[in-house]
Amino acid sequence: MSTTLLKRRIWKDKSAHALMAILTISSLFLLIVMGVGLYLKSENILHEHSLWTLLTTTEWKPLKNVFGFLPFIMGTLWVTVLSIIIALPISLLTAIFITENARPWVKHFVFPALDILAGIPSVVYGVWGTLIIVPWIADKVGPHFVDYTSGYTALAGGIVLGVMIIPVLVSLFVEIFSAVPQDFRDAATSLGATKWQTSRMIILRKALPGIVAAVVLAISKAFGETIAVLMVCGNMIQNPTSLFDSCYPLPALIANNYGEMLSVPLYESALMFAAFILFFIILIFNASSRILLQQIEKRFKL
Amino acid sequence: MKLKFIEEKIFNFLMLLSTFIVLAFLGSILWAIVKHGWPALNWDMVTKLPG
Repeated sequence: MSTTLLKRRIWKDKSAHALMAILTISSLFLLIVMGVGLYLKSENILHEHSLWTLLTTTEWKPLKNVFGFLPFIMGTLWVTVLSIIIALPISLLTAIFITENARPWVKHFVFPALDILAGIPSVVYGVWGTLIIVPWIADKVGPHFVDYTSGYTALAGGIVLGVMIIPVLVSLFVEIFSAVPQDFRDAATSLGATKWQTSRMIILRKALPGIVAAVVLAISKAFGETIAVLMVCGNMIQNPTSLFDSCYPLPALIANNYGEMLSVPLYESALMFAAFILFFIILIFNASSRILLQQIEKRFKL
Repeated sequence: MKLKFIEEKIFNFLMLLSTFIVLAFLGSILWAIVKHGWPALNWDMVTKLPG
């Protein structure tokens, strides 16, 4: 190989390396720009009210310059936690079934169904929630537990969001479980383990970091979901205390009100602060899950 | 010994049930959309201007 050719190859390699580094840094830079932008936009409200007051008070009266974000934060948490409680066991069991037990024709049937579920626009989930889930809760489930419920509740939001994240979780779990080497299964079977025991003690354990990462991804999606939640949660500004209370998640607050009442002082800033809270929660949540993942990998020596 | 086979059967059932629930959700969404959307479909929707 001539020296010129060699130099050119090294130069190409170095420039590709530099380009990739620049692109990686710029994607990080985007995140910083978004965070700083949201903070600057919400600075006005932070000058007028203390952070503690904004995050811990429950009153929301923009015309009287009172902005309490607690009901919205609690609404977001209720709906997100409920959705994970509903989706996680169903997704785990479905994924184990598909990877470990199902016959090929079942997989050929279930995978396209999951793809369709994943591709349905969130507004259609919202319509489905309004047509099916809300009346079901109002007429069938609610009367067993409370005197009256409209059906537009945190439970409805949790169910709709749960159904929305199921295809994401199942697809990720199937990928993760499929990556566990076949030797592990063979070894467990040779020791007399049943399929479920193999799944529980080998597959789930080996795939634990992947499962945590998938759940984090699903929670991030659930946190930011707007339209479907907005359509079924009732959007009442209150701290939900039961499954059958209406709630008002942060994304719904922003979507419902942005562009409205902007003549009210601080209103835009308040909505930007809501977006900043959402951004910050997801950022902290992702960062802490990274730490958790490292701990799991260390503890289980994966 | 018997216990692990009972456990196996229970979880096989639960796995099947979960898969069925996922498919049922899809079925329910399609059914709801078709049931409420089909009667509203007509030629005027695509041939005339709204209003």
